[in-house]
Amino acid sequence: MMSDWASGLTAVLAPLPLLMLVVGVLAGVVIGALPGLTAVMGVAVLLPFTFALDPLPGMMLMVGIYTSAIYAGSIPAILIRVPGTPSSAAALLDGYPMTKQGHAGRALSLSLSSSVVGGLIGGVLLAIFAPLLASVALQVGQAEYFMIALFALTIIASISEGSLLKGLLSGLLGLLIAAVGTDPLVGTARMTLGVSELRAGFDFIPILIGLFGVAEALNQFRRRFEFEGTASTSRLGSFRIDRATRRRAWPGYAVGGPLGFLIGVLPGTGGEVGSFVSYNETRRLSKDKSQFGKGDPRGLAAAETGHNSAVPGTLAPTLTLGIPGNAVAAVMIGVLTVHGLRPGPALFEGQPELVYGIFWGFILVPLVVGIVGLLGIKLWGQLLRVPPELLWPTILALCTVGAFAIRNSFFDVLVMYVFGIVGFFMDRAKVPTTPLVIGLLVGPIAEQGFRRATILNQGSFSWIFDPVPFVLLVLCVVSMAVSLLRSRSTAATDYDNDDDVLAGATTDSTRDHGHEEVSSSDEKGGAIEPCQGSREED
Amino acid sequence: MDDNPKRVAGGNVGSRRTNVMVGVAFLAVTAVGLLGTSFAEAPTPGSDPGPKSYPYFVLVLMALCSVLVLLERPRQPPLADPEAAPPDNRTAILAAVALLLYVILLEPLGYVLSSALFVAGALLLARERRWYVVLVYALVIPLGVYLLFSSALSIALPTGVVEKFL
Repeated sequence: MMSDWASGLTAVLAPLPLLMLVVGVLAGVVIGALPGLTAVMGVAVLLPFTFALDPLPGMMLMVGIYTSAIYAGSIPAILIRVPGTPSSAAALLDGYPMTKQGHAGRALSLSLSSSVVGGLIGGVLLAIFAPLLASVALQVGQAEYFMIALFALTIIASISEGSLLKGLLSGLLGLLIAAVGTDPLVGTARMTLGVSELRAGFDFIPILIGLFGVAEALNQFRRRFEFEGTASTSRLGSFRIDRATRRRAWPGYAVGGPLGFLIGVLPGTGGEVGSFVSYNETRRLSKDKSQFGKGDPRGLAAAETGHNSAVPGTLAPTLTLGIPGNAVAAVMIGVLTVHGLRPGPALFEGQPELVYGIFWGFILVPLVVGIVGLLGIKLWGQLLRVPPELLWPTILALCTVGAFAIRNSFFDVLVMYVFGIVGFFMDRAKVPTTPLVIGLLVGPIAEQGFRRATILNQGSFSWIFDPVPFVLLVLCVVSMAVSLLRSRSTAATDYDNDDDVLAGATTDSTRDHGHEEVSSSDEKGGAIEPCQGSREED
Repeated sequence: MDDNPKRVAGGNVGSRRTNVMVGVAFLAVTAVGLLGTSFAEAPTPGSDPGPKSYPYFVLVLMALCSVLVLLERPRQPPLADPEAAPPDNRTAILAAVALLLYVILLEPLGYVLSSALFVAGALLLARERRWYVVLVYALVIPLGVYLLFSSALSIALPTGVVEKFL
């Protein structure tokens, strides 16, 4: 065990992985700080850069992009009240009021320090708990794998944008697409409709690039690349965090760190839910709630710590079970599959250097983000001046490379295009795309679990009543029922309860991202949570 | 589809229309899936439920959810931001067409040439009217990306008709 840690550290401290971590952090800052570019789109579009790299440097590039894009998404949220990534919406609740009070510099510094603290807590917790989870995962049988895959899909569908049914449909479409091609057990071609290229099935990377890169590009063309700031970035004030601010911020760190990680581990959650829940809990536990939403350092620290702590959490189910926690984790699986590796408990035994190297990467990346952030904090506002109309054609040219380079296939480029159009229309119809991606990835796991469990039971489906699969089935039903009840109760009150601060968040988030919404659900306690309308991507 | 929804007590026509479109689209996917699965023929050894079992399981659930979406009473969609510019569907369609042409021309023209044409077209669609910006971008971006991937990262990209020049 200790030797795995040592070999992981040695591997990650080699020049190339370390360089990729730094490059990833720099790229992530640009992606996060530019409104319209999301972390998931960033990792999807930049995925082809990892094809020429070994798995560990490739993963370090992705870890750097993901972590720093989440941090940098809060920069425009604080400066101009437009979240750089949809999951940064919580940062503007107290970050933007600090800017209005002339403390933008302090808010940026607090955001940076909270991101570093949150990332470190999340990284350490991932390193502690993931090996334990992996040893448990080794005992998981085929029936359990099938039900875990269904449970993950149900949870993701329940909490993602739009209605539960649309989320489920999206997930089922992913399962169906994953079943296209040669059957995994007896080798029969299915659903190929006479297209020879489909006998090998769809490669999931062109689909991911289409759904998250091309679809968003088309959305940007539709929205004329517009976003509007409401504050000047020229007067930032002092960047120093004084002692009083530090003292006020620590409850945010203390609550947001562990809570954000726990939320991140749950399938389908990620930074967005982690930041809002952390904000909410810090506010609930505070004696004086009056300053929340008015530039309270506790609020900003809680949102940012929870946000960044959730990032390593999303990788826990991915690495231990092979079931991605969210869309970014799904894209990151692509870095491994290109090299013939499959995440899951077997990876811990077969590639310990890689797995423990990834853990070290998550512990080191907040420090790199901290250093890069300190060096560049006064410059980040300038990133907002990059004209987006010049950016998106470049992104589409990179998308084409990503889709083609997997198998040198023009068919894959066509697949990317088709799923870009599909993603665009799904977005317009409020059908979330993340369940589709998760379905696509858990599809083979689910099918093999379903078939093998039935074979082991001599053709009977009675395995569904075995204790663990049955409990998971009950959990699937409960999660769907809770989601349905919540959507019914919030449908009546959704548009009447928004307070001023959240209304601001909604307006700007919607202006930039088209359809995100943030709602308050509790008038008495002022509890704040992302509702079903919030976008599911980081 | 629902760009400027009006708040109507008890539901919204536009939103219901979206639900109907989603339900019908997924029912169509279900039908195609059933057709594709029905052609799969294979002897199923022993107690294996066979290659059709799992797709059928997924398709039944999909059909059920599609029907429920058709019947679902839609929630009121969020209000559109009155200050935001109206969406430009025409440009989005033209961008999709430009992208389709790009995909079609990728094999015969190669990455550099087809990307140059696409980048120039996309910039014009994005209302970039400075011809020198369009020209420089259309040359530098595809060539830069090609050289980065083919030379630095050893990832082969299609060369097409300009093979001898690259």
